[in-house]
Amino acid sequence: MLIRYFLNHQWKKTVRSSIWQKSLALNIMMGFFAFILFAEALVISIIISNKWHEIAKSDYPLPEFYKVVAYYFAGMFMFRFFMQTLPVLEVRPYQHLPVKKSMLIHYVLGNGMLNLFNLLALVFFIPFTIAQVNYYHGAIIAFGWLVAMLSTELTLNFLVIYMKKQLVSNLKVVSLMLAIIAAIGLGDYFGWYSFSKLVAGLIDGMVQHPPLLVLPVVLLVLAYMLNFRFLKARLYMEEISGKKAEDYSQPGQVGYLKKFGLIGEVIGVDIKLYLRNKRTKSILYMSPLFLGYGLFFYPNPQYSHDGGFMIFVGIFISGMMMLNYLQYAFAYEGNYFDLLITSGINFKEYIRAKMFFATVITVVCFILTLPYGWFGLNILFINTACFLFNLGILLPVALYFATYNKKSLVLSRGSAFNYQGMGASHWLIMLPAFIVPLFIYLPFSWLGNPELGLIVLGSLGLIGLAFRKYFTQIIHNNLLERKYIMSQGFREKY
Amino acid sequence: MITVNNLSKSYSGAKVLDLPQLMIPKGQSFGLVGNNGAGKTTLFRLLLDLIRAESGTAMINGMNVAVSDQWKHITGAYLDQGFLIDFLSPEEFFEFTGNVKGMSKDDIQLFLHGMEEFFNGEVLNKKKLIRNLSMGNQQKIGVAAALMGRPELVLLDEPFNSLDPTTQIRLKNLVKKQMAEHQTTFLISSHDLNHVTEVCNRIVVLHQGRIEHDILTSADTLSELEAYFAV
Repeated sequence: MLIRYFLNHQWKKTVRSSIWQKSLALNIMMGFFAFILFAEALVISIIISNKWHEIAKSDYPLPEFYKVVAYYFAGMFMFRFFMQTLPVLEVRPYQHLPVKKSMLIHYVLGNGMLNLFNLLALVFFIPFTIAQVNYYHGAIIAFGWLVAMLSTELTLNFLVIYMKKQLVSNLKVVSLMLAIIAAIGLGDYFGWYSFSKLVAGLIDGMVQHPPLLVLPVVLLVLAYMLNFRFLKARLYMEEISGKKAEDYSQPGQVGYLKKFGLIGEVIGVDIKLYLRNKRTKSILYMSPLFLGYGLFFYPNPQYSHDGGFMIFVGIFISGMMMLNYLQYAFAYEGNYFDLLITSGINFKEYIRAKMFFATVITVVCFILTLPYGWFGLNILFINTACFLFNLGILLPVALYFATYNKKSLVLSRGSAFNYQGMGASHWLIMLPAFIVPLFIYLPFSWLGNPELGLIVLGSLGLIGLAFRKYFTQIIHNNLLERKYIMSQGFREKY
Repeated sequence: MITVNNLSKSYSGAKVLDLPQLMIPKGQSFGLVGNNGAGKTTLFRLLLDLIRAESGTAMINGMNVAVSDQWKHITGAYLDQGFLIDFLSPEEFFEFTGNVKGMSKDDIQLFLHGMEEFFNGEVLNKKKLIRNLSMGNQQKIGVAAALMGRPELVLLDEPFNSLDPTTQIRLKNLVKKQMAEHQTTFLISSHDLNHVTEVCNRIVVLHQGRIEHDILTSADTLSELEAYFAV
């Protein structure tokens, strides 16, 4: 009976939050894309399943498909890690009520199973089960196979949830898990063994000895229990509200900044904000991933010859940290936005401080990624052009749109149930930042003159730099125009 | 100090504040009472230009708050926790606020020294961030920060909330002292009729966004107010 209330409350929370009501267009667009993607996936899945024996060119084509399954699982795992929004339920209002603790957790976890990724698994596996496994092994084993595969998918689901929860509270465990995953990936890459063959062998073994199909289900139960116990141990008021006695530390004291007057003061607060809040700290921890992104692509000549993709990487490595900072430039300060706008801080100085700090971030990222020049001089040119574009164009544009981010964020509650803004929409907003420079570059590349494309890209950045005063004015006007709306949005707590 | 003309604000069609005229002279301590939903906080937010007025103007020292920025330098305010930067330590927060208000390092030290009694030894040098302090201590920090930089006008929304009895009395003394020494204008809202009548020399009762009573405090004020609210 209580479940009904939970669902009802969550529905209301979603529908009544300002972000949903104000950006209906974005939500509709995302829903539409999801639907199209889904329909396409279903059609493709059905076609491939029915023709698989022709594609694999084998009398017994299943093991070939198991290899695809292996990559599917690996890909989904990575994808989930970056995209999946985690089950959110503010359990605090329910904790003092006579509701069983375990019931709250079961609800949160069960709720997490209802997501697009798991639906996609159904689309991926069911047609193949019916068309192929059923044909070779009969209905019972086919059903067992389906259950085993879906269990594996759900196990991944819970593993990702577990890792993401640990990401905020316990970095060591996550580092260890990531290291293991990296080791598996590298081993496959260097040909010590074949990940796909290994997984395909495991699946084939289970199909040949059907009782073993129970194993994934056991794994699923274990993964569920892992999450359950993790949450149960942390479902205390003090841990959720972040009120427990924190280790007292004051990182982020930069006395040097005082010399810069008000700009230094604002940046000083920004630095402390980043170092003292769990949410922002986890972004900082991810920064090596942003900077190291190039390592995935530069060593592979196939990518580095395709200039378009290199633009994407170039924008990413020197711009990602800056975009992350600017996207929430005001939202992170939402909790004391009223103070900022009444304290007599000059808005223009304030914006200049934000821009200055973002510039420093971008420059530092660029300098740190200079060693990529080792992979070739052309990469250095691409990165420099992208860096200039980031600095001159993307930086002011990102700050301009930051004023539209007016949902208050929980910064200090890094523990169990805080994953606002870490879902798909957060990444989708960043897409134009990567697509626009690509659109500028590609026509030149297709016309056989990629160097000119780079020069245009870099020149646009320089022009943007020259017009920075003008951009500051526009952002300033926009902030003045939107400050009431922002202030009100920030006051609506979570 | 404050001049309000035809100021009004509605939320989803319902008028929550409608003030044809309100003048608060310099040096007055102005008390605002009224039941929940009377429009007290709305008035504060309009005066601080935190929400857009539907009609009319609010002026501080002759400056329209929605147009000018200069009034911010002579105004201190604490409405709610949105005025605290909770991941700073109290010392850092005072330093930040002091710098923004144009105080020197020595000014800030002197100011904090003067606040020691009000803080009752529970705020400074505790090696805690503001978010880890109790509500009462957070309230003390907010109120104290509103007084930094010797403002001519101070706005406090229910400042007595969650303060312990000792600090409530000290806050009253603090307000009286500021008024006597610097002719500071205060705008204080409260649900505690005893406190406002003691501290404020003028009291306005708001009801559904309108001024119901406007009285200069006298010996009978408390009983008058109690009679009004005892419905």
